[in-house]
Amino acid sequence: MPLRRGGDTARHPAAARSRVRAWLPPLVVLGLAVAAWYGVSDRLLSPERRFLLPPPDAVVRVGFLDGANRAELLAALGRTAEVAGLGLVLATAVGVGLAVLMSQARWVERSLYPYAVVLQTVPVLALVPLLGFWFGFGMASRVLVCVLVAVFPVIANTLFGLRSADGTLEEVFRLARAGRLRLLLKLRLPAAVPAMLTGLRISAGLSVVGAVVGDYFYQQGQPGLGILINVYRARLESERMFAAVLLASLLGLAVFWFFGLLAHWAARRHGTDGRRR
Amino acid sequence: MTERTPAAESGGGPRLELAGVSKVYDDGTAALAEVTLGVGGGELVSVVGPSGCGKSTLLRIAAGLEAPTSGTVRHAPERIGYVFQDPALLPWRTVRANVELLMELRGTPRAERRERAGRALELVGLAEFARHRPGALSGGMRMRVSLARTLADDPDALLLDEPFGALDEITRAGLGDELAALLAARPRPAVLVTHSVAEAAFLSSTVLVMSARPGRVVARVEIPFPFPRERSLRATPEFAEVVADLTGRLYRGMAEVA
Repeated sequence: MPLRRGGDTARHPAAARSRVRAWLPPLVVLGLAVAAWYGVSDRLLSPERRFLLPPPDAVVRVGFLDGANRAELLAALGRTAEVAGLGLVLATAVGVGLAVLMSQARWVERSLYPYAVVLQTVPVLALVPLLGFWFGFGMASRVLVCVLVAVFPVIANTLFGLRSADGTLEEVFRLARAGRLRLLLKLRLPAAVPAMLTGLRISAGLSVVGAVVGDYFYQQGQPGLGILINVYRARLESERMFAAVLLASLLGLAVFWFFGLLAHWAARRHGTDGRRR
Repeated sequence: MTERTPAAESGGGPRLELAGVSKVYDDGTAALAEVTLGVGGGELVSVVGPSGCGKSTLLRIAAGLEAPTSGTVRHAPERIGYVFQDPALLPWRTVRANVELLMELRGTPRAERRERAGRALELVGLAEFARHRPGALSGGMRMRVSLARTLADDPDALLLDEPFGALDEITRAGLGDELAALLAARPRPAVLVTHSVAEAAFLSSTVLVMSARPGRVVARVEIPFPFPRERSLRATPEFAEVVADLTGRLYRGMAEVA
Protein backbone atom coordinates (compact mmCIF):
# COMPACT_ATOMS: atom_id res chain seq x y z
CA MET A 1 0.00 0.00 0.00
CA PRO A 2 1.62 3.26 -1.07
CA LEU A 3 1.51 5.90 1.61
CA ARG A 4 0.02 9.32 1.09
CA ARG A 5 2.59 11.87 0.06
CA GLY A 6 3.10 15.21 1.68
CA GLY A 7 2.29 14.08 5.21
CA ASP A 8 4.36 15.37 8.11
CA THR A 9 7.30 12.99 7.99
CA ALA A 10 8.54 13.83 11.46
CA ARG A 11 5.27 12.69 12.99
CA HIS A 12 4.89 9.71 10.70
CA PRO A 13 7.95 7.52 11.02
CA ALA A 14 6.35 4.91 8.75
CA ALA A 15 6.01 7.47 5.95
CA ALA A 16 9.59 8.62 6.50
CA ARG A 17 10.80 5.05 6.36
CA SER A 18 8.96 4.36 3.15
CA ARG A 19 10.36 7.53 1.61
CA VAL A 20 13.85 6.50 2.58
CA ARG A 21 13.15 3.11 1.08
CA ALA A 22 12.07 4.77 -2.17
CA TRP A 23 14.96 7.20 -2.47
CA LEU A 24 17.87 5.37 -0.92
CA PRO A 25 18.50 2.62 -3.51
CA PRO A 26 18.77 4.93 -6.54
CA LEU A 27 20.97 7.31 -4.51
CA VAL A 28 23.26 4.44 -3.57
CA VAL A 29 23.49 3.47 -7.25
CA LEU A 30 24.28 7.08 -8.14
CA GLY A 31 27.02 7.16 -5.52
CA LEU A 32 28.48 3.93 -6.83
CA ALA A 33 28.38 5.22 -10.41
CA VAL A 34 30.17 8.46 -9.47
CA ALA A 35 32.75 6.46 -7.51
CA ALA A 36 33.32 4.17 -10.47
CA TRP A 37 33.61 7.24 -12.71
CA TYR A 38 36.33 8.69 -10.43
CA GLY A 39 38.01 5.28 -10.32
CA VAL A 40 38.23 5.10 -14.09
CA SER A 41 39.33 8.74 -14.56
CA ASP A 42 41.91 8.90 -11.80
CA ARG A 43 43.23 5.37 -11.55
CA LEU A 44 42.68 3.65 -14.86
CA LEU A 45 43.43 6.45 -17.32
CA SER A 46 46.88 7.97 -17.61
CA PRO A 47 46.82 11.83 -17.51
CA GLU A 48 47.27 12.13 -21.30
CA ARG A 49 44.28 9.87 -21.91
CA ARG A 50 42.10 11.41 -19.22
CA PHE A 51 40.16 13.36 -21.85
CA LEU A 52 38.29 10.11 -22.60
CA LEU A 53 36.53 10.40 -19.26
CA PRO A 54 37.26 13.57 -17.32
CA PRO A 55 36.44 13.29 -13.60
CA PRO A 56 33.03 14.66 -12.51
CA ASP A 57 34.44 17.65 -10.64
CA ALA A 58 36.32 18.74 -13.78
CA VAL A 59 33.13 18.52 -15.80
CA VAL A 60 31.30 20.69 -13.28
CA ARG A 61 34.17 23.15 -12.92
CA VAL A 62 34.81 23.66 -16.63
CA GLY A 63 31.31 23.19 -17.93
CA PHE A 64 29.13 24.91 -15.35
CA LEU A 65 31.27 27.08 -13.08
CA ASP A 66 33.02 28.91 -15.89
CA GLY A 67 30.75 31.83 -16.80
CA ALA A 68 31.32 31.93 -20.56
CA ASN A 69 31.03 28.15 -20.95
CA ARG A 70 27.89 28.11 -18.85
CA ALA A 71 26.29 30.85 -20.92
CA GLU A 72 27.08 29.03 -24.14
CA LEU A 73 25.69 25.73 -22.83
CA LEU A 74 22.53 27.28 -21.40
CA ALA A 75 21.83 29.15 -24.63
CA ALA A 76 22.21 25.89 -26.53
CA LEU A 77 19.97 24.13 -24.03
CA GLY A 78 17.35 26.81 -24.59
CA ARG A 79 17.59 26.39 -28.34
CA THR A 80 17.31 22.60 -28.14
CA ALA A 81 14.35 22.83 -25.75
CA GLU A 82 12.69 25.27 -28.13
CA VAL A 83 13.14 22.94 -31.10
CA ALA A 84 11.91 19.94 -29.10
CA GLY A 85 8.94 21.90 -27.78
CA LEU A 86 7.93 23.20 -31.19
CA GLY A 87 8.33 19.72 -32.66
CA LEU A 88 6.20 18.24 -29.91
CA VAL A 89 3.43 20.81 -30.38
CA LEU A 90 3.33 20.12 -34.12
CA ALA A 91 3.51 16.34 -33.61
CA THR A 92 0.62 16.58 -31.15
CA ALA A 93 -1.51 18.66 -33.50
CA VAL A 94 -0.82 16.42 -36.49
CA GLY A 95 -1.05 13.20 -34.47
CA VAL A 96 -4.33 14.03 -32.73
CA GLY A 97 -5.77 15.30 -36.00
CA LEU A 98 -4.88 12.12 -37.85
CA ALA A 99 -6.12 9.92 -35.02
CA VAL A 100 -9.47 11.75 -34.99
CA LEU A 101 -9.76 11.28 -38.76
CA MET A 102 -8.94 7.60 -38.46
CA SER A 103 -11.44 7.14 -35.67
CA GLN A 104 -14.23 8.47 -37.88
CA ALA A 105 -14.16 5.70 -40.46
CA ARG A 106 -12.47 2.34 -40.71
CA TRP A 107 -11.47 2.95 -44.30
CA VAL A 108 -9.54 6.07 -43.33
CA GLU A 109 -7.72 4.10 -40.66
CA ARG A 110 -7.01 1.25 -43.05
CA SER A 111 -5.61 3.66 -45.62
CA LEU A 112 -3.47 5.78 -43.29
CA TYR A 113 -2.35 3.66 -40.37
CA PRO A 114 0.13 1.50 -42.32
CA TYR A 115 1.99 4.65 -43.33
CA ALA A 116 2.10 5.86 -39.76
CA VAL A 117 3.72 2.53 -38.90
CA VAL A 118 6.15 2.93 -41.82
CA LEU A 119 7.02 6.37 -40.50
CA GLN A 120 7.82 4.77 -37.19
CA THR A 121 10.02 2.03 -38.64
CA VAL A 122 11.99 4.04 -41.23
CA PRO A 123 15.23 5.06 -39.52
CA VAL A 124 14.97 8.81 -39.30
CA LEU A 125 18.72 9.15 -39.63
CA ALA A 126 18.35 7.79 -43.16
CA LEU A 127 15.98 10.65 -43.95
CA VAL A 128 18.19 13.33 -42.46
CA PRO A 129 20.14 14.18 -45.64
CA LEU A 130 16.95 14.24 -47.70
CA LEU A 131 15.21 16.57 -45.30
CA GLY A 132 18.30 18.77 -45.49
CA PHE A 133 18.02 19.01 -49.25
CA TRP A 134 14.35 19.78 -49.12
CA PHE A 135 14.03 22.07 -46.16
CA GLY A 136 17.52 23.43 -45.67
CA PHE A 137 20.04 22.72 -42.94
CA GLY A 138 18.54 24.97 -40.31
CA MET A 139 15.60 25.33 -37.93
CA ALA A 140 12.90 23.94 -40.22
CA SER A 141 14.62 20.61 -40.68
CA ARG A 142 15.46 20.30 -36.99
CA VAL A 143 11.83 20.77 -36.04
CA LEU A 144 10.74 18.38 -38.76
CA VAL A 145 12.99 15.62 -37.42
CA CYS A 146 11.32 16.05 -34.02
CA VAL A 147 7.88 15.80 -35.59
CA LEU A 148 8.83 12.67 -37.51
CA VAL A 149 10.17 10.83 -34.48
CA ALA A 150 7.46 12.05 -32.10
CA VAL A 151 4.26 11.76 -34.10
CA PHE A 152 3.63 8.03 -34.01
CA PRO A 153 3.09 7.55 -30.26
CA VAL A 154 0.59 10.42 -30.35
CA ILE A 155 -1.35 8.83 -33.22
CA ALA A 156 -1.33 5.32 -31.78
CA ASN A 157 -2.25 6.31 -28.23
CA THR A 158 -4.89 8.86 -29.21
CA LEU A 159 -6.52 6.37 -31.55
CA PHE A 160 -6.53 3.78 -28.81
CA GLY A 161 -7.99 6.33 -26.41
CA LEU A 162 -10.71 7.42 -28.83
CA ARG A 163 -11.80 3.81 -29.14
CA SER A 164 -11.65 3.18 -25.41
CA ALA A 165 -15.01 4.81 -24.66
CA ASP A 166 -17.40 2.37 -23.07
CA GLY A 167 -19.82 0.70 -25.50
CA THR A 168 -22.85 1.29 -23.30
CA LEU A 169 -22.01 4.98 -23.10
CA GLU A 170 -21.95 5.13 -26.87
CA GLU A 171 -25.45 3.67 -26.87
CA VAL A 172 -26.57 6.29 -24.39
CA PHE A 173 -25.44 8.90 -26.92
CA ARG A 174 -27.07 7.04 -29.80
CA LEU A 175 -30.40 6.86 -28.01
CA ALA A 176 -30.28 10.63 -27.52
CA ARG A 177 -29.72 10.94 -31.29
CA ALA A 178 -26.31 12.55 -30.79
CA GLY A 179 -24.42 13.18 -34.02
CA ARG A 180 -20.80 12.35 -34.79
CA LEU A 181 -19.45 15.68 -33.63
CA ARG A 182 -21.24 15.53 -30.29
CA LEU A 183 -20.07 11.95 -29.80
CA LEU A 184 -16.52 13.00 -30.54
CA LEU A 185 -16.49 16.13 -28.40
CA LYS A 186 -18.46 14.91 -25.43
CA LEU A 187 -17.51 11.24 -25.26
CA ARG A 188 -14.60 10.06 -27.40
CA LEU A 189 -12.13 12.92 -26.92
CA PRO A 190 -12.59 13.27 -23.16
CA ALA A 191 -12.31 9.50 -22.84
CA ALA A 192 -9.08 9.63 -24.83
CA VAL A 193 -7.32 12.15 -22.58
CA PRO A 194 -5.42 9.70 -20.35
CA ALA A 195 -4.17 7.62 -23.30
CA MET A 196 -3.29 10.82 -25.15
CA LEU A 197 -1.13 11.96 -22.26
CA THR A 198 0.63 8.60 -22.16
CA GLY A 199 1.46 9.07 -25.83
CA LEU A 200 2.55 12.64 -25.22
CA ARG A 201 4.94 11.53 -22.51
CA ILE A 202 6.65 9.08 -24.86
CA SER A 203 6.65 11.59 -27.70
CA ALA A 204 8.14 14.35 -25.55
CA GLY A 205 11.15 12.17 -24.76
CA LEU A 206 11.53 11.26 -28.41
CA SER A 207 11.23 14.89 -29.39
CA VAL A 208 14.22 15.79 -27.20
CA VAL A 209 16.21 13.01 -28.87
CA GLY A 210 15.05 14.32 -32.25
CA ALA A 211 16.13 17.87 -31.38
CA VAL A 212 19.63 16.79 -30.36
CA VAL A 213 19.99 14.56 -33.42
CA GLY A 214 18.56 17.31 -35.60
CA ASP A 215 21.03 19.98 -34.61
CA TYR A 216 23.87 17.50 -34.72
CA PHE A 217 23.22 17.29 -38.45
CA TYR A 218 21.72 20.64 -39.37
CA GLN A 219 24.33 23.07 -38.25
CA GLN A 220 23.06 26.32 -39.74
CA GLY A 221 21.65 28.89 -37.38
CA GLN A 222 22.18 29.23 -33.65
CA PRO A 223 23.71 26.13 -32.08
CA GLY A 224 21.76 23.67 -29.98
CA LEU A 225 23.26 21.05 -27.67
CA GLY A 226 23.83 18.61 -30.53
CA ILE A 227 26.04 21.06 -32.39
CA LEU A 228 28.01 21.89 -29.25
CA ILE A 229 28.58 18.20 -28.54
CA ASN A 230 29.92 17.80 -32.05
CA VAL A 231 32.13 20.89 -31.85
CA TYR A 232 33.57 19.98 -28.42
CA ARG A 233 34.21 16.45 -29.65
CA ALA A 234 36.17 17.80 -32.61
CA ARG A 235 38.23 20.03 -30.31
CA LEU A 236 38.74 17.25 -27.74
CA GLU A 237 37.19 19.54 -25.11
CA SER A 238 35.76 16.60 -23.27
CA GLU A 239 34.79 18.40 -20.03
CA ARG A 240 32.52 20.70 -21.98
CA MET A 241 31.25 17.84 -24.09
CA PHE A 242 30.31 15.88 -20.99
CA ALA A 243 28.57 18.94 -19.60
CA ALA A 244 26.53 19.24 -22.80
CA VAL A 245 25.62 15.54 -22.73
CA LEU A 246 24.58 15.92 -19.09
CA LEU A 247 22.33 18.87 -19.93
CA ALA A 248 20.72 16.97 -22.82
CA SER A 249 20.00 14.06 -20.47
CA LEU A 250 18.59 16.37 -17.82
CA LEU A 251 16.32 17.99 -20.40
CA GLY A 252 14.97 14.55 -21.35
CA LEU A 253 14.47 13.67 -17.70
CA ALA A 254 12.72 16.96 -16.91
CA VAL A 255 10.36 16.49 -19.83
CA PHE A 256 9.60 12.91 -18.76
CA TRP A 257 8.86 14.03 -15.21
CA PHE A 258 6.73 16.94 -16.32
CA PHE A 259 4.49 14.80 -18.49
CA GLY A 260 4.33 12.14 -15.79
CA LEU A 261 3.00 14.75 -13.35
CA LEU A 262 0.62 16.10 -15.97
CA ALA A 263 -0.77 12.62 -16.62
CA HIS A 264 -1.23 12.06 -12.89
CA TRP A 265 -3.00 15.38 -12.45
CA ALA A 266 -5.22 14.77 -15.47
CA ALA A 267 -6.17 11.32 -14.22
CA ARG A 268 -7.41 12.90 -10.99
CA ARG A 269 -9.40 15.55 -12.79
CA HIS A 270 -10.66 12.94 -15.18
CA GLY A 271 -12.22 10.96 -12.36
CA THR A 272 -10.49 7.75 -13.40
CA ASP A 273 -8.14 7.94 -10.45
CA GLY A 274 -10.70 8.20 -7.67
CA ARG A 275 -12.40 4.92 -8.43
CA ARG A 276 -11.47 3.10 -5.29
CA ARG A 277 -13.90 0.42 -4.26
CA MET B 1 -34.59 -1.28 -41.06
CA THR B 2 -37.43 -1.70 -38.67
CA GLU B 3 -40.66 0.03 -39.46
CA ARG B 4 -41.27 2.83 -37.00
CA THR B 5 -44.44 4.81 -36.97
CA PRO B 6 -44.70 7.93 -34.87
CA ALA B 7 -46.48 7.38 -31.62
CA ALA B 8 -48.94 10.17 -32.39
CA GLU B 9 -50.66 8.08 -35.05
CA SER B 10 -51.65 5.36 -32.63
CA GLY B 11 -53.95 7.71 -30.73
CA GLY B 12 -54.51 7.72 -26.98
CA GLY B 13 -50.95 8.68 -25.95
CA PRO B 14 -47.73 6.92 -26.69
CA ARG B 15 -47.72 3.17 -27.11
CA LEU B 16 -44.99 0.66 -27.52
CA GLU B 17 -45.67 -2.38 -29.65
CA LEU B 18 -43.57 -5.27 -30.84
CA ALA B 19 -45.12 -7.84 -33.16
CA GLY B 20 -43.71 -11.35 -33.62
CA VAL B 21 -40.16 -10.26 -32.95
CA SER B 22 -37.42 -12.87 -33.30
CA LYS B 23 -33.70 -12.50 -33.05
CA VAL B 24 -31.07 -14.90 -34.32
CA TYR B 25 -27.48 -13.75 -34.00
CA ASP B 26 -24.91 -14.22 -36.74
CA ASP B 27 -23.33 -17.11 -34.87
CA GLY B 28 -26.66 -18.96 -35.00
CA THR B 29 -27.70 -18.27 -31.40
CA ALA B 30 -31.45 -17.84 -31.24
CA ALA B 31 -32.10 -15.22 -28.58
CA LEU B 32 -35.78 -14.47 -29.05
CA ALA B 33 -38.64 -16.32 -30.73
CA GLU B 34 -41.84 -14.61 -31.81
CA VAL B 35 -42.30 -12.18 -28.97
CA THR B 36 -45.31 -9.91 -29.16
CA LEU B 37 -45.65 -7.09 -26.70
CA GLY B 38 -48.01 -4.15 -26.41
CA VAL B 39 -47.65 -1.53 -23.72
CA GLY B 40 -49.97 1.44 -23.40
CA GLY B 41 -49.33 4.79 -21.78
CA GLY B 42 -49.08 4.53 -18.01
CA GLU B 43 -48.75 0.78 -18.16
CA LEU B 44 -45.75 -0.98 -16.70
CA VAL B 45 -45.02 -4.40 -18.11
CA SER B 46 -42.39 -6.50 -16.40
CA VAL B 47 -40.45 -9.24 -18.08
CA VAL B 48 -39.12 -12.07 -15.94
CA GLY B 49 -37.25 -15.13 -17.10
CA PRO B 50 -34.13 -17.18 -16.58
CA SER B 51 -30.86 -15.41 -17.30
CA GLY B 52 -29.83 -15.52 -20.92
CA CYS B 53 -33.41 -15.76 -22.14
CA GLY B 54 -33.17 -12.66 -24.29
CA LYS B 55 -34.86 -10.18 -21.95
CA SER B 56 -32.22 -7.56 -22.61
CA THR B 57 -32.32 -8.28 -26.33
CA LEU B 58 -36.04 -7.60 -26.25
CA LEU B 59 -35.46 -4.16 -24.71
CA ARG B 60 -32.62 -3.39 -27.10
CA ILE B 61 -34.85 -4.17 -30.06
CA ALA B 62 -37.65 -2.04 -28.63
CA ALA B 63 -35.20 0.84 -28.26
CA GLY B 64 -33.88 0.44 -31.80
CA LEU B 65 -30.39 -0.45 -30.60
CA GLU B 66 -30.68 -3.75 -32.44
CA ALA B 67 -32.73 -4.78 -35.42
CA PRO B 68 -34.94 -7.85 -35.11
CA THR B 69 -34.24 -10.79 -37.45
CA SER B 70 -37.96 -10.94 -38.14
CA GLY B 71 -41.05 -9.21 -36.82
CA THR B 72 -41.59 -5.50 -36.43
CA VAL B 73 -41.37 -2.73 -33.89
CA ARG B 74 -44.56 -0.79 -34.23
CA HIS B 75 -45.27 2.44 -32.49
CA ALA B 76 -41.95 3.02 -30.83
CA PRO B 77 -41.99 6.47 -29.23
CA GLU B 78 -39.39 8.92 -30.48
CA ARG B 79 -37.82 9.73 -27.16
CA ILE B 80 -36.93 6.56 -25.33
CA GLY B 81 -35.51 6.50 -21.83
CA TYR B 82 -33.26 3.50 -21.42
CA VAL B 83 -31.71 2.53 -18.12
CA PHE B 84 -28.90 0.04 -18.66
CA GLN B 85 -27.77 -2.65 -16.24
CA ASP B 86 -24.60 -0.74 -15.70
CA PRO B 87 -24.86 2.94 -14.79
CA ALA B 88 -22.87 4.11 -17.86
CA LEU B 89 -21.82 7.48 -16.43
CA LEU B 90 -19.09 9.77 -17.72
CA PRO B 91 -16.39 9.52 -15.03
CA TRP B 92 -14.99 13.00 -15.77
CA ARG B 93 -18.32 14.75 -15.24
CA THR B 94 -19.89 15.61 -11.93
CA VAL B 95 -23.10 13.88 -10.94
CA ARG B 96 -25.12 16.95 -11.95
CA ALA B 97 -23.41 17.21 -15.34
CA ASN B 98 -24.08 13.52 -15.89
CA VAL B 99 -27.75 13.99 -15.14
CA GLU B 100 -27.83 16.90 -17.60
CA LEU B 101 -26.17 14.87 -20.38
CA LEU B 102 -29.22 13.67 -22.31
CA MET B 103 -30.90 17.08 -22.16
CA GLU B 104 -27.63 18.66 -23.28
CA LEU B 105 -27.48 16.30 -26.26
CA ARG B 106 -31.03 17.18 -27.18
CA GLY B 107 -30.37 20.89 -26.93
CA THR B 108 -32.40 21.78 -23.85
CA PRO B 109 -31.52 25.32 -22.64
CA ARG B 110 -29.10 25.48 -19.74
CA ALA B 111 -31.41 26.95 -17.13
CA GLU B 112 -34.06 24.33 -17.77
CA ARG B 113 -31.42 21.61 -17.68
CA ARG B 114 -30.23 22.80 -14.32
CA GLU B 115 -33.68 22.86 -12.89
CA ARG B 116 -34.75 19.45 -14.18
CA ALA B 117 -31.47 17.83 -13.15
CA GLY B 118 -31.89 19.26 -9.67
CA ARG B 119 -35.38 17.84 -9.38
CA ALA B 120 -34.34 14.42 -10.66
CA LEU B 121 -31.47 14.27 -8.19
CA GLU B 122 -33.82 15.25 -5.42
CA LEU B 123 -36.10 12.43 -6.46
CA VAL B 124 -33.41 9.76 -6.23
CA GLY B 125 -32.12 11.27 -3.01
CA LEU B 126 -28.73 12.43 -4.30
CA ALA B 127 -29.15 16.21 -4.30
CA GLU B 128 -26.24 16.70 -1.92
CA PHE B 129 -23.93 14.67 -4.17
CA ALA B 130 -24.47 16.89 -7.23
CA ARG B 131 -20.87 18.07 -7.25
CA HIS B 132 -19.27 14.66 -6.73
CA ARG B 133 -17.75 12.54 -9.44
CA PRO B 134 -19.27 9.12 -10.05
CA GLY B 135 -15.97 7.59 -8.90
CA ALA B 136 -16.62 8.80 -5.36
CA LEU B 137 -20.05 7.14 -5.19
CA SER B 138 -21.10 3.61 -4.32
CA GLY B 139 -22.47 1.26 -6.97
CA GLY B 140 -26.04 1.78 -5.83
CA MET B 141 -25.67 5.55 -5.86
CA ARG B 142 -24.26 5.48 -9.37
CA MET B 143 -27.26 3.47 -10.49
CA ARG B 144 -29.53 6.13 -9.00
CA VAL B 145 -27.62 8.81 -10.91
CA SER B 146 -28.21 6.82 -14.07
CA LEU B 147 -31.91 6.65 -13.27
CA ALA B 148 -31.99 10.39 -12.54
CA ARG B 149 -30.37 11.06 -15.92
CA THR B 150 -33.17 9.18 -17.68
CA LEU B 151 -35.93 10.74 -15.59
CA ALA B 152 -34.62 14.28 -16.09
CA ASP B 153 -34.79 13.71 -19.85
CA ASP B 154 -38.55 13.12 -19.46
CA PRO B 155 -38.79 10.37 -22.10
CA ASP B 156 -41.94 9.18 -23.89
CA ALA B 157 -41.28 5.58 -22.92
CA LEU B 158 -39.16 3.91 -20.28
CA LEU B 159 -37.13 0.77 -20.82
CA LEU B 160 -35.41 -0.47 -17.71
CA ASP B 161 -32.94 -3.33 -17.87
CA GLU B 162 -32.58 -4.66 -14.32
CA PRO B 163 -31.84 -1.20 -13.00
CA PHE B 164 -32.38 -2.17 -9.38
CA GLY B 165 -30.32 -5.34 -9.48
CA ALA B 166 -27.37 -3.92 -7.60
CA LEU B 167 -29.35 -1.97 -5.01
CA ASP B 168 -30.23 -2.82 -1.44
CA GLU B 169 -33.78 -3.75 -0.57
CA ILE B 170 -34.80 -0.38 0.92
CA THR B 171 -33.44 1.76 -1.93
CA ARG B 172 -34.99 -0.67 -4.32
CA ALA B 173 -38.44 -0.32 -2.83
CA GLY B 174 -38.08 3.47 -2.68
CA LEU B 175 -37.14 3.73 -6.34
CA GLY B 176 -39.96 1.38 -7.24
CA ASP B 177 -42.41 3.76 -5.58
CA GLU B 178 -40.89 6.69 -7.45
CA LEU B 179 -41.22 4.83 -10.70
CA ALA B 180 -44.89 4.12 -10.04
CA ALA B 181 -45.51 7.77 -9.13
CA LEU B 182 -43.77 8.95 -12.31
CA LEU B 183 -45.87 6.73 -14.50
CA ALA B 184 -49.00 7.93 -12.78
CA ALA B 185 -47.98 11.59 -13.16
CA ARG B 186 -47.39 11.31 -16.88
CA PRO B 187 -48.76 8.19 -18.58
CA ARG B 188 -46.18 6.54 -20.78
CA PRO B 189 -45.37 2.94 -21.57
CA ALA B 190 -42.70 1.29 -19.45
CA VAL B 191 -41.02 -2.09 -19.67
CA LEU B 192 -39.02 -3.42 -16.75
CA VAL B 193 -36.70 -6.39 -17.02
CA THR B 194 -36.04 -7.90 -13.62
CA HIS B 195 -35.24 -11.18 -11.99
CA SER B 196 -37.21 -10.40 -8.89
CA VAL B 197 -40.66 -11.92 -9.32
CA ALA B 198 -41.98 -10.03 -6.29
CA GLU B 199 -40.75 -6.72 -7.66
CA ALA B 200 -42.36 -7.49 -11.01
CA ALA B 201 -45.66 -8.35 -9.36
CA PHE B 202 -45.66 -5.28 -7.15
CA LEU B 203 -44.81 -2.70 -9.80
CA SER B 204 -46.48 -3.96 -12.95
CA SER B 205 -49.87 -4.11 -14.49
CA THR B 206 -48.79 -7.14 -16.52
CA VAL B 207 -45.95 -9.62 -16.08
CA LEU B 208 -44.53 -11.57 -19.01
CA VAL B 209 -42.85 -14.83 -18.10
CA MET B 210 -40.24 -15.93 -20.60
CA SER B 211 -38.75 -19.34 -21.26
CA ALA B 212 -35.07 -20.15 -21.50
CA ARG B 213 -33.31 -19.43 -24.79
CA PRO B 214 -34.64 -18.80 -27.31
CA GLY B 215 -36.89 -16.58 -25.21
CA ARG B 216 -40.58 -17.03 -25.81
CA VAL B 217 -43.43 -15.61 -23.79
CA VAL B 218 -44.79 -18.60 -21.87
CA ALA B 219 -47.25 -16.68 -19.72
CA ARG B 220 -48.85 -13.25 -19.69
CA VAL B 221 -50.21 -12.55 -16.25
CA GLU B 222 -52.39 -9.56 -15.40
CA ILE B 223 -51.72 -8.40 -11.88
CA PRO B 224 -55.16 -7.73 -10.36
CA PHE B 225 -54.28 -5.13 -7.70
CA PRO B 226 -55.33 -1.53 -8.38
CA PHE B 227 -52.91 1.39 -8.44
CA PRO B 228 -51.59 3.15 -6.44
CA ARG B 229 -50.37 0.17 -4.45
CA GLU B 230 -49.38 0.43 -0.83
CA ARG B 231 -46.23 -1.24 0.37
CA SER B 232 -48.35 -3.25 2.80
CA LEU B 233 -49.74 -5.09 -0.21
CA ARG B 234 -46.57 -7.12 -0.31
CA ALA B 235 -47.47 -8.71 3.03
CA THR B 236 -50.95 -9.91 2.01
CA PRO B 237 -51.76 -13.54 1.21
CA GLU B 238 -53.27 -12.48 -2.12
CA PHE B 239 -49.98 -10.96 -3.18
CA ALA B 240 -48.08 -14.04 -2.03
CA GLU B 241 -50.41 -16.15 -4.14
CA VAL B 242 -49.71 -14.08 -7.26
CA VAL B 243 -45.97 -14.33 -6.64
CA ALA B 244 -46.20 -18.08 -6.11
CA ASP B 245 -48.18 -18.45 -9.32
CA LEU B 246 -45.59 -16.43 -11.28
CA THR B 247 -42.71 -18.37 -9.76
CA GLY B 248 -44.42 -21.64 -10.72
CA ARG B 249 -44.82 -20.47 -14.30
CA LEU B 250 -41.23 -19.34 -14.40
CA TYR B 251 -40.00 -22.79 -13.34
CA ARG B 252 -42.33 -24.55 -15.73
CA GLY B 253 -41.04 -22.32 -18.52
CA MET B 254 -37.48 -23.32 -17.70
CA ALA B 255 -38.39 -27.03 -17.48
CA GLU B 256 -40.20 -27.05 -20.81
CA VAL B 257 -36.99 -26.49 -22.67
CA ALA B 258 -34.60 -28.51 -20.50
